Amino acid sequence: MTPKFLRILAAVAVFATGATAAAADQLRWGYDLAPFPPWNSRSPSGEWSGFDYDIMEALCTHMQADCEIVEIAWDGMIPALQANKIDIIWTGMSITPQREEVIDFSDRYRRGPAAYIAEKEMNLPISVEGFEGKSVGIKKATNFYTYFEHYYGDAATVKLYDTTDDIIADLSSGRLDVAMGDILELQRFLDSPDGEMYEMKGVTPVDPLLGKGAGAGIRKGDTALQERLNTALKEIRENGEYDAIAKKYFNFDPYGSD
Amino acid sequence: MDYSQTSFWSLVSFSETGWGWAFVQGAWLTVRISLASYLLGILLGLLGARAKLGGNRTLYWLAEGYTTLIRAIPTLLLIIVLYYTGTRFFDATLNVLGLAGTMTLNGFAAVVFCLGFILGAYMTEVFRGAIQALPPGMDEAARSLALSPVQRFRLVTFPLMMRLALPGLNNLWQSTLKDSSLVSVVGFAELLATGKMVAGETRMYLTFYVFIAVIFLALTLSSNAVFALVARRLDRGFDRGA
Repeated sequence: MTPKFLRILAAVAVFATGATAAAADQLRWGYDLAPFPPWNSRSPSGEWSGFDYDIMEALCTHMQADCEIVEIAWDGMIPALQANKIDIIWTGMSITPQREEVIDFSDRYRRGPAAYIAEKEMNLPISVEGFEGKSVGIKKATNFYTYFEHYYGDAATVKLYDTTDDIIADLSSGRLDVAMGDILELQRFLDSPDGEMYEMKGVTPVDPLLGKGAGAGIRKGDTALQERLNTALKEIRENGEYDAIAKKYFNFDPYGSD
Repeated sequence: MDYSQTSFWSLVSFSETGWGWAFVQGAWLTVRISLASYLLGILLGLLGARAKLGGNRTLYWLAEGYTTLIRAIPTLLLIIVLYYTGTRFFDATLNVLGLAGTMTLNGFAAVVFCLGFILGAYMTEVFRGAIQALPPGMDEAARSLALSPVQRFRLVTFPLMMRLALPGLNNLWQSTLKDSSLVSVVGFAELLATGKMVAGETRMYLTFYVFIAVIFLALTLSSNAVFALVARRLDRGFDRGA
Protein backbone atom coordinates (compact mmCIF):
# COMPACT_ATOMS: atom_id res chain seq x y z
CA MET A 1 0.00 0.00 0.00
CA THR A 2 1.21 3.43 -0.84
CA PRO A 3 1.66 5.96 1.96
CA LYS A 4 -0.83 8.23 0.23
CA PHE A 5 -3.48 5.54 0.29
CA LEU A 6 -2.81 4.95 4.00
CA ARG A 7 -3.18 8.64 4.72
CA ILE A 8 -6.55 8.71 2.99
CA LEU A 9 -7.60 5.62 4.93
CA ALA A 10 -6.61 7.25 8.22
CA ALA A 11 -8.49 10.41 7.31
CA VAL A 12 -11.59 8.39 6.52
CA ALA A 13 -11.26 6.51 9.82
CA VAL A 14 -10.94 9.75 11.80
CA PHE A 15 -13.88 11.18 9.96
CA ALA A 16 -16.00 8.07 10.58
CA THR A 17 -15.21 7.84 14.30
CA GLY A 18 -15.70 11.56 14.71
CA ALA A 19 -19.10 11.23 13.11
CA THR A 20 -20.16 8.38 15.39
CA ALA A 21 -18.98 10.19 18.53
CA ALA A 22 -21.16 13.15 17.61
CA ALA A 23 -24.06 10.88 16.82
CA ALA A 24 -23.83 9.15 20.22
CA ASP A 25 -24.75 12.35 22.04
CA GLN A 26 -27.58 13.03 19.69
CA LEU A 27 -30.86 11.60 21.01
CA ARG A 28 -33.98 11.42 18.86
CA TRP A 29 -37.20 11.46 20.85
CA GLY A 30 -40.34 10.07 19.20
CA TYR A 31 -43.44 12.20 19.80
CA ASP A 32 -46.95 11.09 18.90
CA LEU A 33 -47.85 13.57 16.19
CA ALA A 34 -51.34 13.88 17.67
CA PRO A 35 -50.77 15.99 20.81
CA PHE A 36 -52.60 15.40 24.07
CA PRO A 37 -52.58 18.56 26.19
CA PRO A 38 -51.56 19.23 28.87
CA TRP A 39 -49.10 16.31 28.66
CA ASN A 40 -47.89 17.59 25.32
CA SER A 41 -49.00 20.36 23.09
CA ARG A 42 -47.88 21.58 19.66
CA SER A 43 -48.16 25.04 18.16
CA PRO A 44 -49.10 25.53 14.49
CA SER A 45 -45.47 26.41 13.76
CA GLY A 46 -44.27 23.11 15.22
CA GLU A 47 -42.99 24.07 18.68
CA TRP A 48 -43.76 21.56 21.38
CA SER A 49 -44.59 22.34 24.99
CA GLY A 50 -46.32 20.68 27.90
CA PHE A 51 -45.37 18.43 30.78
CA ASP A 52 -43.66 15.72 28.70
CA TYR A 53 -41.67 18.31 26.78
CA ASP A 54 -40.44 20.06 29.94
CA ILE A 55 -39.42 16.74 31.49
CA MET A 56 -37.53 15.85 28.31
CA GLU A 57 -35.68 19.20 28.39
CA ALA A 58 -34.71 18.64 32.03
CA LEU A 59 -33.50 15.10 31.30
CA CYS A 60 -31.49 16.27 28.30
CA THR A 61 -29.77 18.96 30.37
CA HIS A 62 -28.79 16.36 32.97
CA MET A 63 -27.63 13.84 30.38
CA GLN A 64 -25.84 16.60 28.45
CA ALA A 65 -27.40 15.24 25.30
CA ASP A 66 -28.34 17.00 22.13
CA CYS A 67 -32.05 16.24 21.80
CA GLU A 68 -34.21 16.29 18.73
CA ILE A 69 -37.96 15.65 18.35
CA VAL A 70 -39.28 13.30 15.67
CA GLU A 71 -43.05 13.38 15.07
CA ILE A 72 -44.54 9.98 14.21
CA ALA A 73 -48.04 8.52 14.25
CA TRP A 74 -48.48 6.40 17.37
CA ASP A 75 -48.90 3.13 15.38
CA GLY A 76 -45.45 3.55 13.86
CA MET A 77 -43.55 4.19 17.11
CA ILE A 78 -42.20 0.72 17.89
CA PRO A 79 -41.17 -0.05 14.28
CA ALA A 80 -39.43 3.36 14.12
CA LEU A 81 -37.53 2.59 17.33
CA GLN A 82 -36.46 -0.81 16.07
CA ALA A 83 -35.41 0.57 12.69
CA ASN A 84 -33.21 3.13 14.46
CA LYS A 85 -35.19 6.18 13.27
CA ILE A 86 -35.60 7.29 16.87
CA ASP A 87 -33.80 6.44 20.11
CA ILE A 88 -36.59 7.00 22.60
CA ILE A 89 -40.37 6.63 22.51
CA TRP A 90 -41.69 9.53 24.56
CA THR A 91 -45.18 11.09 25.09
CA GLY A 92 -46.56 8.52 27.46
CA MET A 93 -46.15 4.91 26.42
CA SER A 94 -47.57 2.72 29.18
CA ILE A 95 -45.28 -0.02 30.40
CA THR A 96 -47.10 -3.30 29.68
CA PRO A 97 -45.88 -6.93 29.65
CA GLN A 98 -46.69 -7.25 25.92
CA ARG A 99 -44.54 -4.23 25.03
CA GLU A 100 -41.75 -5.36 27.34
CA GLU A 101 -41.34 -8.41 25.11
CA VAL A 102 -40.22 -6.27 22.18
CA ILE A 103 -38.71 -3.13 23.73
CA ASP A 104 -37.17 -2.03 27.02
CA PHE A 105 -38.36 0.83 29.20
CA SER A 106 -36.79 3.35 31.51
CA ASP A 107 -38.29 3.72 34.99
CA ARG A 108 -41.71 5.34 34.87
CA TYR A 109 -41.79 9.11 34.60
CA ARG A 110 -45.49 9.59 35.04
CA ARG A 111 -48.59 7.76 36.00
CA GLY A 112 -51.74 9.84 36.01
CA PRO A 113 -53.84 8.39 38.83
CA ALA A 114 -57.61 7.92 38.89
CA ALA A 115 -59.56 10.35 41.06
CA TYR A 116 -62.74 10.18 43.12
CA ILE A 117 -65.07 13.17 43.12
CA ALA A 118 -68.25 13.77 45.08
CA GLU A 119 -70.31 16.62 46.58
CA LYS A 120 -68.33 18.91 48.84
CA GLU A 121 -70.52 18.18 51.90
CA MET A 122 -70.09 14.44 51.65
CA ASN A 123 -67.66 12.81 54.05
CA LEU A 124 -65.82 10.25 51.97
CA PRO A 125 -62.72 8.58 53.38
CA ILE A 126 -61.15 6.38 50.69
CA SER A 127 -61.67 3.07 52.47
CA VAL A 128 -64.04 0.10 52.56
CA GLU A 129 -66.04 1.83 55.33
CA GLY A 130 -66.12 5.08 53.39
CA PHE A 131 -67.60 3.48 50.29
CA GLU A 132 -70.15 1.38 52.25
CA GLY A 133 -73.56 1.83 50.63
CA LYS A 134 -72.36 4.44 48.11
CA SER A 135 -73.11 4.24 44.39
CA VAL A 136 -69.97 4.75 42.31
CA GLY A 137 -69.89 5.43 38.56
CA ILE A 138 -66.91 4.04 36.57
CA LYS A 139 -66.11 3.68 32.88
CA LYS A 140 -66.60 0.19 31.40
CA ALA A 141 -63.66 -2.07 30.54
CA THR A 142 -61.00 0.05 32.25
CA ASN A 143 -58.24 -0.69 34.74
CA PHE A 144 -60.08 1.68 37.08
CA TYR A 145 -63.02 -0.70 37.23
CA THR A 146 -60.80 -3.76 37.81
CA TYR A 147 -59.02 -1.92 40.60
CA PHE A 148 -62.14 -0.57 42.30
CA GLU A 149 -64.03 -3.85 42.10
CA HIS A 150 -61.08 -5.67 43.65
CA TYR A 151 -60.73 -3.41 46.68
CA TYR A 152 -64.17 -1.90 47.29
CA GLY A 153 -66.55 -4.01 45.16
CA ASP A 154 -68.24 -5.59 48.17
CA ALA A 155 -68.94 -2.32 49.94
CA ALA A 156 -70.07 -0.04 47.10
CA THR A 157 -72.65 -0.38 44.34
CA VAL A 158 -70.74 -0.02 41.08
CA LYS A 159 -72.52 1.40 38.03
CA LEU A 160 -70.78 1.15 34.67
CA TYR A 161 -70.83 3.78 31.91
CA ASP A 162 -69.55 4.19 28.38
CA THR A 163 -68.03 7.64 28.84
CA THR A 164 -66.88 9.92 31.62
CA ASP A 165 -69.41 12.48 30.39
CA ASP A 166 -72.23 10.05 31.16
CA ILE A 167 -70.86 9.51 34.66
CA ILE A 168 -70.75 13.25 35.24
CA ALA A 169 -74.30 13.66 33.95
CA ASP A 170 -75.60 11.09 36.44
CA LEU A 171 -73.53 12.55 39.26
CA SER A 172 -74.98 16.01 38.58
CA SER A 173 -78.54 14.72 38.55
CA GLY A 174 -78.04 12.93 41.88
CA ARG A 175 -78.25 9.36 40.58
CA LEU A 176 -74.67 8.71 41.67
CA ASP A 177 -72.83 9.48 44.93
CA VAL A 178 -69.30 9.24 43.59
CA ALA A 179 -67.61 9.46 40.18
CA MET A 180 -64.32 7.63 39.63
CA GLY A 181 -62.23 8.23 36.52
CA ASP A 182 -59.32 9.82 34.74
CA ILE A 183 -58.06 12.67 36.88
CA LEU A 184 -57.66 15.13 34.00
CA GLU A 185 -61.17 14.58 32.70
CA LEU A 186 -62.69 14.94 36.18
CA GLN A 187 -60.54 17.99 36.92
CA ARG A 188 -61.89 19.69 33.82
CA PHE A 189 -65.42 19.15 35.17
CA LEU A 190 -64.45 20.51 38.60
CA ASP A 191 -63.00 23.63 36.97
CA SER A 192 -66.19 24.27 34.99
CA PRO A 193 -69.17 26.23 36.44
CA ASP A 194 -71.18 22.98 36.69
CA GLY A 195 -68.54 21.45 38.93
CA GLU A 196 -68.73 24.10 41.68
CA MET A 197 -70.57 21.88 44.18
CA TYR A 198 -68.08 19.04 43.86
CA GLU A 199 -64.53 18.34 44.96
CA MET A 200 -61.82 15.73 44.65
CA LYS A 201 -61.93 13.29 47.53
CA GLY A 202 -58.79 11.38 46.74
CA VAL A 203 -56.66 9.66 44.11
CA THR A 204 -55.60 6.07 43.64
CA PRO A 205 -52.17 4.90 44.84
CA VAL A 206 -49.75 3.06 42.54
CA ASP A 207 -51.12 -0.44 42.16
CA PRO A 208 -50.33 -3.31 39.77
CA LEU A 209 -54.01 -3.45 38.80
CA LEU A 210 -53.73 0.10 37.48
CA GLY A 211 -50.69 -0.58 35.31
CA LYS A 212 -47.09 0.49 35.77
CA GLY A 213 -47.36 3.98 34.35
CA ALA A 214 -45.50 5.39 31.37
CA GLY A 215 -41.76 5.19 30.74
CA ALA A 216 -39.38 6.04 27.95
CA GLY A 217 -39.37 3.21 25.41
CA ILE A 218 -35.91 2.20 24.22
CA ARG A 219 -34.42 -0.51 22.02
CA LYS A 220 -33.98 -3.93 23.62
CA GLY A 221 -30.56 -4.19 25.18
CA ASP A 222 -29.80 -0.45 25.01
CA THR A 223 -28.75 -0.58 28.65
CA ALA A 224 -26.36 2.36 28.42
CA LEU A 225 -29.21 4.69 27.45
CA GLN A 226 -31.52 3.08 30.00
CA GLU A 227 -28.99 3.80 32.73
CA ARG A 228 -28.49 7.41 31.59
CA LEU A 229 -32.23 8.04 31.52
CA ASN A 230 -32.85 6.44 34.91
CA THR A 231 -29.99 8.37 36.51
CA ALA A 232 -31.20 11.67 35.07
CA LEU A 233 -34.77 10.89 36.10
CA LYS A 234 -33.62 10.18 39.64
CA GLU A 235 -31.68 13.44 39.72
CA ILE A 236 -34.63 15.60 38.67
CA ARG A 237 -36.91 13.73 41.09
CA GLU A 238 -34.48 14.43 43.94
CA ASN A 239 -33.53 18.04 43.21
CA GLY A 240 -37.14 19.19 42.86
CA GLU A 241 -37.04 19.97 39.15
CA TYR A 242 -39.68 17.32 38.47
CA ASP A 243 -42.05 18.72 41.07
CA ALA A 244 -41.58 22.27 39.81
CA ILE A 245 -42.57 21.17 36.30
CA ALA A 246 -45.52 19.15 37.63
CA LYS A 247 -46.82 22.19 39.58
CA LYS A 248 -46.84 24.21 36.38
CA TYR A 249 -49.47 21.93 34.88
CA PHE A 250 -51.30 19.97 37.58
CA ASN A 251 -52.60 20.24 41.11
CA PHE A 252 -51.83 16.56 41.70
CA ASP A 253 -48.66 14.53 41.55
CA PRO A 254 -48.35 13.04 38.03
CA TYR A 255 -45.60 10.70 39.24
CA GLY A 256 -48.09 8.85 41.41
CA SER A 257 -47.36 8.02 45.03
CA ASP A 258 -45.70 4.69 45.76
CA MET B 1 -53.96 26.29 25.92
CA ASP B 2 -57.74 26.35 26.13
CA TYR B 3 -59.46 26.39 22.74
CA SER B 4 -63.06 26.14 23.94
CA GLN B 5 -63.67 29.85 23.32
CA THR B 6 -61.87 29.94 19.96
CA SER B 7 -63.94 29.90 16.80
CA PHE B 8 -63.39 27.28 14.12
CA TRP B 9 -62.54 29.92 11.51
CA SER B 10 -59.78 31.46 13.56
CA LEU B 11 -58.35 27.96 14.13
CA VAL B 12 -58.10 27.33 10.39
CA SER B 13 -56.92 30.87 9.64
CA PHE B 14 -53.45 31.71 8.37
CA SER B 15 -52.55 33.81 11.41
CA GLU B 16 -49.78 32.86 13.81
CA THR B 17 -52.15 30.84 16.01
CA GLY B 18 -54.18 29.38 13.16
CA TRP B 19 -53.52 26.01 11.53
CA GLY B 20 -54.27 27.16 7.96
CA TRP B 21 -50.71 26.72 6.70
CA ALA B 22 -50.42 23.33 8.38
CA PHE B 23 -53.47 22.15 6.45
CA VAL B 24 -52.18 23.62 3.18
CA GLN B 25 -48.81 21.91 3.70
CA GLY B 26 -50.51 18.65 4.63
CA ALA B 27 -52.75 18.72 1.55
CA TRP B 28 -49.80 19.66 -0.68
CA LEU B 29 -47.75 16.78 0.72
CA THR B 30 -50.67 14.42 0.10
CA VAL B 31 -50.93 15.59 -3.51
CA ARG B 32 -47.17 15.39 -4.10
CA ILE B 33 -46.82 11.89 -2.61
CA SER B 34 -49.87 10.67 -4.53
CA LEU B 35 -48.78 12.15 -7.87
CA ALA B 36 -45.21 10.89 -7.65
CA SER B 37 -46.17 7.38 -6.59
CA TYR B 38 -48.94 7.32 -9.22
CA LEU B 39 -46.45 8.09 -12.00
CA LEU B 40 -44.06 5.44 -10.69
CA GLY B 41 -47.02 3.03 -10.50
CA ILE B 42 -47.94 3.69 -14.15
CA LEU B 43 -44.39 2.98 -15.22
CA LEU B 44 -44.20 -0.27 -13.22
CA GLY B 45 -47.69 -1.19 -14.41
CA LEU B 46 -46.76 -0.82 -18.08
CA LEU B 47 -43.61 -2.89 -17.52
CA GLY B 48 -45.60 -5.48 -15.58
CA ALA B 49 -48.28 -5.76 -18.26
CA ARG B 50 -45.60 -6.03 -20.94
CA ALA B 51 -43.90 -8.81 -18.94
CA LYS B 52 -47.16 -10.69 -18.54
CA LEU B 53 -48.13 -10.48 -22.21
CA GLY B 54 -44.70 -10.53 -23.86
CA GLY B 55 -44.43 -14.32 -24.02
CA ASN B 56 -41.20 -14.72 -22.01
CA ARG B 57 -41.93 -17.33 -19.31
CA THR B 58 -39.40 -16.07 -16.75
CA LEU B 59 -40.67 -12.50 -17.02
CA TYR B 60 -44.24 -13.74 -16.87
CA TRP B 61 -43.71 -15.58 -13.59
CA LEU B 62 -41.76 -12.66 -12.12
CA ALA B 63 -44.66 -10.33 -12.87
CA GLU B 64 -47.18 -12.88 -11.69
CA GLY B 65 -45.31 -13.24 -8.36
CA TYR B 66 -45.13 -9.47 -7.98
CA THR B 67 -48.85 -8.83 -8.53
CA THR B 68 -49.97 -11.82 -6.44
CA LEU B 69 -47.75 -11.02 -3.47
CA ILE B 70 -48.32 -7.27 -3.36
CA ARG B 71 -52.06 -7.46 -3.84
CA ALA B 72 -52.43 -10.12 -1.13
CA ILE B 73 -50.84 -8.05 1.66
CA PRO B 74 -52.49 -5.09 3.44
CA THR B 75 -51.03 -1.79 2.25
CA LEU B 76 -50.31 -0.53 5.77
CA LEU B 77 -48.24 -3.62 6.53
CA LEU B 78 -46.37 -3.31 3.22
CA ILE B 79 -45.51 0.32 3.89
CA ILE B 80 -44.08 -0.46 7.32
CA VAL B 81 -42.15 -3.47 6.00
CA LEU B 82 -40.86 -1.82 2.80
CA TYR B 83 -40.01 1.47 4.48
CA TYR B 84 -38.13 0.08 7.44
CA THR B 85 -36.46 -2.91 5.81
CA GLY B 86 -35.77 -0.78 2.75
CA THR B 87 -33.94 1.89 4.70
CA ARG B 88 -32.19 -0.75 6.81
CA PHE B 89 -31.00 -2.45 3.62
CA PHE B 90 -29.78 0.91 2.36
CA ASP B 91 -27.84 1.55 5.60
CA ALA B 92 -26.39 -1.97 5.54
CA THR B 93 -25.23 -1.49 1.96
CA LEU B 94 -23.47 1.73 2.98
CA ASN B 95 -21.86 -0.14 5.87
CA VAL B 96 -20.48 -2.81 3.59
CA LEU B 97 -19.12 -0.13 1.27
CA GLY B 98 -17.53 1.60 4.27
CA LEU B 99 -19.64 4.71 3.79
CA ALA B 100 -21.72 4.34 6.95
CA GLY B 101 -23.33 7.57 8.10
CA THR B 102 -22.34 9.53 5.01
CA MET B 103 -25.75 9.36 3.33
CA THR B 104 -29.32 8.97 4.45
CA LEU B 105 -32.16 7.83 2.28
CA ASN B 106 -34.45 10.71 1.45
CA GLY B 107 -37.67 9.96 3.38
CA PHE B 108 -39.93 11.33 0.66
CA ALA B 109 -38.27 9.19 -2.00
CA ALA B 110 -38.55 6.11 0.20
CA VAL B 111 -42.26 6.68 0.78
CA VAL B 112 -42.94 7.33 -2.91
CA PHE B 113 -41.04 4.18 -3.79
CA CYS B 114 -43.14 2.11 -1.34
CA LEU B 115 -46.49 3.44 -2.54
CA GLY B 116 -45.49 3.35 -6.21
CA PHE B 117 -44.23 -0.22 -5.89
CA ILE B 118 -47.55 -1.29 -4.38
CA LEU B 119 -49.57 0.68 -6.91
CA GLY B 120 -47.61 -0.86 -9.80
CA ALA B 121 -49.06 -4.29 -9.00
CA TYR B 122 -52.61 -3.02 -9.35
CA MET B 123 -51.70 -0.99 -12.46
CA THR B 124 -50.24 -4.12 -14.08
CA GLU B 125 -53.61 -5.82 -13.92
CA VAL B 126 -55.48 -2.74 -15.20
CA PHE B 127 -53.14 -2.40 -18.20
CA ARG B 128 -53.09 -6.13 -18.91
CA GLY B 129 -56.88 -6.21 -18.97
CA ALA B 130 -57.07 -3.14 -21.22
CA ILE B 131 -54.49 -4.47 -23.71
CA GLN B 132 -56.19 -7.87 -23.89
CA ALA B 133 -59.53 -6.18 -24.54
CA LEU B 134 -58.22 -4.63 -27.76
CA PRO B 135 -59.35 -6.39 -30.94
CA PRO B 136 -56.36 -8.41 -32.30
CA GLY B 137 -56.92 -6.80 -35.71
CA MET B 138 -55.50 -3.52 -34.42
CA ASP B 139 -52.07 -4.98 -33.75
CA GLU B 140 -52.19 -7.01 -36.96
CA ALA B 141 -52.97 -3.89 -38.98
CA ALA B 142 -50.00 -2.13 -37.34
CA ARG B 143 -47.74 -5.06 -38.19
CA SER B 144 -48.91 -5.02 -41.81
CA LEU B 145 -47.73 -1.40 -41.97
CA ALA B 146 -44.26 -2.63 -40.95
CA LEU B 147 -44.20 -0.53 -37.79
CA SER B 148 -41.47 -1.41 -35.31
CA PRO B 149 -42.55 -2.89 -31.91
CA VAL B 150 -41.90 0.47 -30.22
CA GLN B 151 -43.92 2.32 -32.84
CA ARG B 152 -46.74 -0.22 -32.58
CA PHE B 153 -46.95 0.34 -28.86
CA ARG B 154 -46.59 4.13 -28.98
CA LEU B 155 -48.90 4.81 -31.92
CA VAL B 156 -51.50 2.04 -31.72
CA THR B 157 -51.67 -0.07 -28.58
CA PHE B 158 -51.01 2.66 -26.00
CA PRO B 159 -53.57 5.28 -27.08
CA LEU B 160 -56.27 2.67 -27.72
CA MET B 161 -55.55 0.78 -24.51
CA MET B 162 -55.49 3.92 -22.35
CA ARG B 163 -59.07 4.62 -23.30
CA LEU B 164 -60.13 1.28 -21.81
CA ALA B 165 -57.78 1.53 -18.83
CA LEU B 166 -58.95 5.00 -17.80
CA PRO B 167 -61.84 4.03 -15.48
CA GLY B 168 -59.56 1.60 -13.65
CA LEU B 169 -56.82 4.24 -13.48
CA ASN B 170 -59.26 6.76 -12.05
CA ASN B 171 -60.23 4.25 -9.34
CA LEU B 172 -56.58 3.70 -8.49
CA TRP B 173 -55.90 7.44 -8.32
CA GLN B 174 -58.69 7.91 -5.82
CA SER B 175 -57.46 5.08 -3.63
CA THR B 176 -53.90 6.43 -3.90
CA LEU B 177 -55.03 9.83 -2.62
CA LYS B 178 -56.46 8.10 0.44
CA ASP B 179 -53.75 5.42 0.84
CA SER B 180 -51.15 8.15 0.93
CA SER B 181 -52.46 8.91 4.43
CA LEU B 182 -50.94 5.60 5.55
CA VAL B 183 -47.47 7.12 5.34
CA SER B 184 -48.14 9.03 8.57
CA VAL B 185 -47.01 5.85 10.37
CA VAL B 186 -43.51 6.47 9.06
CA GLY B 187 -43.56 10.10 10.18
CA PHE B 188 -45.05 12.18 7.38
CA ALA B 189 -47.52 14.90 8.32
CA GLU B 190 -49.76 14.61 5.29
CA LEU B 191 -53.38 15.73 5.37
CA LEU B 192 -54.84 13.08 7.68
CA ALA B 193 -51.94 13.29 10.12
CA THR B 194 -52.29 17.08 10.19
CA GLY B 195 -55.98 16.62 10.99
CA LYS B 196 -55.15 14.26 13.86
CA MET B 197 -52.58 16.72 15.13
CA VAL B 198 -54.99 19.65 15.20
CA ALA B 199 -57.82 17.51 16.57
CA GLY B 200 -55.62 16.32 19.44
CA GLU B 201 -54.30 19.78 20.20
CA THR B 202 -57.71 21.50 20.23
CA ARG B 203 -59.72 18.49 21.48
CA MET B 204 -62.20 19.26 18.69
CA TYR B 205 -62.02 15.80 17.17
CA LEU B 206 -65.27 15.62 15.20
CA THR B 207 -64.89 19.13 13.79
CA PHE B 208 -61.45 18.53 12.33
CA TYR B 209 -62.11 15.01 11.10
CA VAL B 210 -65.08 16.36 9.15
CA PHE B 211 -62.93 19.26 7.94
CA ILE B 212 -60.26 16.99 6.42
CA ALA B 213 -62.99 14.74 4.97
CA VAL B 214 -64.24 17.81 3.10
CA ILE B 215 -60.72 18.60 1.83
CA PHE B 216 -60.31 15.00 0.60
CA LEU B 217 -63.67 15.28 -1.16
CA ALA B 218 -62.56 18.52 -2.83
CA LEU B 219 -59.34 16.87 -4.01
CA THR B 220 -61.28 13.94 -5.45
CA LEU B 221 -63.81 16.15 -7.21
CA SER B 222 -61.16 18.31 -8.82
CA SER B 223 -59.16 15.28 -9.97
CA ASN B 224 -62.37 13.82 -11.43
CA ALA B 225 -62.59 16.90 -13.62
CA VAL B 226 -59.06 16.22 -14.92
CA PHE B 227 -59.91 12.59 -15.68
CA ALA B 228 -63.03 13.72 -17.57
CA LEU B 229 -60.86 15.95 -19.78
CA VAL B 230 -58.44 13.10 -20.49
CA ALA B 231 -61.35 10.78 -21.27
CA ARG B 232 -62.77 13.27 -23.78
CA ARG B 233 -59.44 13.46 -25.54
CA LEU B 234 -58.97 9.67 -25.66
CA ASP B 235 -62.53 9.19 -26.89
CA ARG B 236 -61.94 11.29 -30.00
CA GLY B 237 -63.08 9.34 -33.05
CA PHE B 238 -65.20 6.96 -30.99
CA ASP B 239 -68.93 6.97 -30.65
CA ARG B 240 -69.51 8.00 -27.02
CA GLY B 241 -72.28 5.48 -26.62
CA ALA B 242 -70.17 2.57 -27.80
